[in-house]
Amino acid sequence: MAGANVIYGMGMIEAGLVLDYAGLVMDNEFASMIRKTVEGVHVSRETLALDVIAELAPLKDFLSHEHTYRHMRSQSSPRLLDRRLREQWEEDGSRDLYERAWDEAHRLLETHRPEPLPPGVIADLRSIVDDADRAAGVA
Amino acid sequence: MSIDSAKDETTLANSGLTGGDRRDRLSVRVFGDDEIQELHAGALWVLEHVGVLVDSTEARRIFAAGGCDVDDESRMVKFPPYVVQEAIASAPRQVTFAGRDVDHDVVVGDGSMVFQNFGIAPKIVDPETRVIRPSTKDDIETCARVCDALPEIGIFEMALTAEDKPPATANVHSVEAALLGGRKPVCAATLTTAETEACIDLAAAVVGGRQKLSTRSLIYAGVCPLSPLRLTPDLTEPTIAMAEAGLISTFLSEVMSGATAPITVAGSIVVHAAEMLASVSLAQLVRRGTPVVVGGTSGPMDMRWGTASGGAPEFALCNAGLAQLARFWALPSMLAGL
Repeated sequence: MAGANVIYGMGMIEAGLVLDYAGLVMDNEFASMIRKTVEGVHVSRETLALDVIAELAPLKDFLSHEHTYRHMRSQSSPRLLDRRLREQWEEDGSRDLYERAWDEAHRLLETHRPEPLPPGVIADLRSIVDDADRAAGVA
Repeated sequence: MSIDSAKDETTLANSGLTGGDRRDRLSVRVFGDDEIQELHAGALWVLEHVGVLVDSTEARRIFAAGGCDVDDESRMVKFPPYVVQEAIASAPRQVTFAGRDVDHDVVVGDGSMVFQNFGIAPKIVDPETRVIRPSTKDDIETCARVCDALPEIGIFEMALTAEDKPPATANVHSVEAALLGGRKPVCAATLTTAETEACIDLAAAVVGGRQKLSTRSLIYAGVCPLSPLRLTPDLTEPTIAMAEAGLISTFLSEVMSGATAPITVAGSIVVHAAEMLASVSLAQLVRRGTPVVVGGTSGPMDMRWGTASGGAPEFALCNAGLAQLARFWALPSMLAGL
């Protein structure tokens, strides 16, 4: 909030000695909430929504109004933090945040496959590192 | 009913609304303008009158050629204020960390905000057994892949060490693994000229040559001054090699109040700031316009236990104050937060 451009530290535990994938996944979620907070509040006619207030208040609700539908995706929407009540959480096995973060980490470990570098580039990288090993006498 | 209808315009005419459209970023100011000036002047005073210990002969030669007062016997380098002011002025206010493709580029500075994983840890919680064990080169490739998937991470800090590789080239192996695993900009946490040059070759192979790399900083140096007020070869060698290649250097100090700096927050910020400015000066004297980022994390040592008190209020004040100082210098900043 003081205007740092890069904020680092995601996934770190034990004073920087250990990396934890579950912690990394949790921190990603916390970072998204920090981003949401720091981005501030957009103030315009559209977001002040005086016309919607005049139309609906005090007796009708805002749930089914088109304005709600239009802006609902701009709300914070955590994937890991569980905003439901205890009963539903218990029905799903009472898994705490750390366990759910591991589930997500395992999902990423198993499924996320960015496009690999071209084979020629991979071979180039290998020979550069081999050269470095030889030059340092550790090949 | 629409806000644009004539009826609403009439109804809302007396509401006091300006019809403006605005969004102010949430912000915290630790210091007033006068206080920022004092901290800045304090850092310049330290650089001019105390100086910085620079181990490397080559780095001292660069400082001497750039107008610094260098004593080769004590290895102390003192900075006339104009040298520092010119360095601040010639460093870009915004830098672009390049990804493997432009979709993964990250612009840093001038009000932007991006997050980064932690580095550099020698151990990992094994994802299968959850036992803490030393990290390997394979772990780095896997971690870069996981970070590739996490949307809030813009830049891959070198997360882990390759404990299974020979120390002399482990940092080169680490960069190879990170470039293979993900598409985001990669921190080359190198300590020597040889390691840094090898990593520059790796990044050049990915982007299509050194010439292309000079405009696409796929890797960057993450180097740390040794507090208080010492630039070791670990910092000066990678900084010089990166600056010559046109690549970004990030200078990350970690001052411990009461141990490696005064116990006061203000005094700690002065030491931290002086180290930042000495490092920025080196990069700018090698090549004017070299992209640099200043930051790190400073805070108290708990006087009862001798441990770094991460999460202490003084950490937040120190790092927020440093971010504010970086904005005052119009330099991009990188600070610990998560």
